Amino acid sequence: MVNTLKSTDDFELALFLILEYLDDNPFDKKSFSLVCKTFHKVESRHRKVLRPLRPKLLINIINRYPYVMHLNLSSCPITDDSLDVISNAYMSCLCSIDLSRSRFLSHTGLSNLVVNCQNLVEIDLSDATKLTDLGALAISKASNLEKLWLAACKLITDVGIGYIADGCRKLKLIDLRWCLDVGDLGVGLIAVKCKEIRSLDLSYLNITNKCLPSIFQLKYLEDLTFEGCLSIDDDDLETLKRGRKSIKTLNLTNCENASLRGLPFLTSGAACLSYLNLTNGFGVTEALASSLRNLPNLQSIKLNGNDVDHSGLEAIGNCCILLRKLSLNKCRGVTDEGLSFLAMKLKELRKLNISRCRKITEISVDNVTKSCTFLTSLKMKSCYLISKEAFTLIGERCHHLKKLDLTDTEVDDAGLMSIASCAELSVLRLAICYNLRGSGLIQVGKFCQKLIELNLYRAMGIKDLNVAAIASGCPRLEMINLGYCKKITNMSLVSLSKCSRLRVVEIQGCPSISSTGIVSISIGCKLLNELDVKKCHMFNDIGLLSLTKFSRNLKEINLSYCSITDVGLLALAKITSLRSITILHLRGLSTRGFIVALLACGGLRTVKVHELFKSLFPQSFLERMESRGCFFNWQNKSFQACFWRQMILSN
Amino acid sequence: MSTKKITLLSSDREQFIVDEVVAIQSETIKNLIEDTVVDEDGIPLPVVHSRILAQVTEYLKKHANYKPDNDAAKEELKNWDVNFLSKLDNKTLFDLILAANYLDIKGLLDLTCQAVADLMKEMSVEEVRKLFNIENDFTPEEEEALRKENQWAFD
Repeated sequence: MVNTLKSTDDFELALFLILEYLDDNPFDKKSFSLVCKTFHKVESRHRKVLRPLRPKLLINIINRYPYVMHLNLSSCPITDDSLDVISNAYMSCLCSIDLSRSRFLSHTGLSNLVVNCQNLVEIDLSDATKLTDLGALAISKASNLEKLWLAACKLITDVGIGYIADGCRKLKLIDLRWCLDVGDLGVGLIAVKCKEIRSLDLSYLNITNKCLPSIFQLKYLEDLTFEGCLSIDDDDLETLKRGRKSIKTLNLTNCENASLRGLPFLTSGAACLSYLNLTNGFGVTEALASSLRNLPNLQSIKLNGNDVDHSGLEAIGNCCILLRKLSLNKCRGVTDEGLSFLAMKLKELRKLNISRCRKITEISVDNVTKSCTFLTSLKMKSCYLISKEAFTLIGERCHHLKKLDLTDTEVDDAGLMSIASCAELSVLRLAICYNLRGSGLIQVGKFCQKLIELNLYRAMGIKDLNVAAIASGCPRLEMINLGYCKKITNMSLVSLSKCSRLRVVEIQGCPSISSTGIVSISIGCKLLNELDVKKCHMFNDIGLLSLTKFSRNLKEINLSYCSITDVGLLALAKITSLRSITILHLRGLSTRGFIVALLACGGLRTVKVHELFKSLFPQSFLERMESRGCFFNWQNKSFQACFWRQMILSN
Repeated sequence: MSTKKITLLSSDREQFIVDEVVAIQSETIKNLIEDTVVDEDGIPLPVVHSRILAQVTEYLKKHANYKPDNDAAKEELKNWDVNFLSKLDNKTLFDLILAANYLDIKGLLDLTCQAVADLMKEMSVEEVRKLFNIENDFTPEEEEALRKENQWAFD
């Protein structure tokens, strides 16, 4: 082949171009590099993004990949020395570096990094909990920096932020969430000195109204997040003569002490505001809604968890007729009357979330589907009062739907058959829908070819036949949850193994599933990322060995209550991509076997185990795991049953 | 619609006469026309052989001004692409990739590169070597070390 093309250079160029298209599965590029030295060379030059896994092997791969621009070290806890090697190797080539969760770095390493890598525009230091003001001083020398994440760097104070404000004048984004020692002074300095700021996240900071005037002076500010800033209140807000014109998104989630009286001062003049989040805020009343009247570009409002009265909904309908997204999740006081009025007015609505608005019935569904025919996303989780007949209206009227969440509702097969006519549907959530028997799914398999995510958790009427219909009709399927669908057997997994894009498979609590089914999945679904086989009692080492052989992309696995032994668990170490493992109880496992396996899985970041193990694991072992960047999450069994329900309902 | 004709000149000096709307799907040709880099026989494309330029113009003619507005038309064009690819041997495919890159025709580059990439995705390393008739020039030790590095060192 090399000889038939005009020159080796041409051949290398063609290979280089082809590599751009080989990115579905990271293993494809790795295989590519094994073909011959030319392929290896081309792949080495091509790679721009690198995510190392083991500190020990870091130097090898840095030499192998000289043109990396984006380096992600969040899975490879490094020391100052390794960071020196990195900065000397990449110099000005490096544009972004992710050092989140690194707990061994000091200001010395950072200092060398920013001196050598002058072109760095992004540094992520979220959860680098050991970082102090000296670290901030080191960062401040990165004069080209545009994006900086410091979430939960709790040792950094106003002084450190002051250094950064002084040195990094080109900053466009800074994330200071949970930097608990940063207050008005630090934020004020950022606002005064970094005039290019577009995005500012100040969630959970102890800031008051004092820093607001300088923030609102920022000419280009677009995204402003004040989640849980309890000290921002209404006092003196009037002094803000007008909000910034440029602001596009404003997030005031959990700001308990700001209220309606203050809002107009925050939003007035914000002519570009398109997204407003008032989750758990001060209630939706007529006065609030009216204050939104002067926001001509407002497209999206989140009012989750608010008390809502009828006049409030009516006013939103009257004031924000161009609204495209509205979320009323868990709003108390939403009635059929209010929602119907709103739907009638908001004809442009594309996305509507009315989950847990527990008073609404089929009357709302009738009116929403009648007026808002352009809806692409509809979420109505846990709306118990909607009668099953009403769900057919969705299929009859909302043909643009891409996302539909009917978790925990009365929807039945007749409803689902109608919904199947939404050919654009890509996400369908039917968890805890006890009325489903399965015939509706056959229609979904027939007509919804674009389906990507299907959740049937505890939809207990589902049978193999129905899963087979989905598997053969929905080739793009990436995520499926069949938890506690107790009637399904290995046959379901054999049919699903045809869906080669499948990434997430959750089949917890399916007693008929055994290793045979998992073997099919591991062979057919090479992209498998997440597998939950909790309480599949028949799943044993044979299935696990198959996973270790074929599922090289597996990142998360839950093996609680399976029939795995020490042998199987140790084999798991071959899956180098594995990040998270959950084992609440395994009968066939010895403490020693467990420890050996966990030590062998070098890439692990989280281990969820029963708290009983806490006393069984030696302290030295726990310390060793933590020094590798792996965290233990101790679970208490008695919480388990309600835990899952909470999980599904809170998502 | 303009029916202005453009003459393209391959590396072996063969002339290809096409409508301007067909030719300017190539950004490179479009720029050459704008910069009036035209010699008396036509626009010189010194790195594209006539054998390949024939394939390129066939593709461009089909795709010129073709904006499928319904699913059937989209399907038809897709089938045409598949059929177009199926007629090419590996060498031509590689030459087409280079031509598409040089002529800056995004659609053709996507089509040809994706075709080779898809082919590789399905194959083992040994099969790829066989397909492109490539000799494995790694020593067994080198190959083993590389396999290990690929497996353990990075994502």
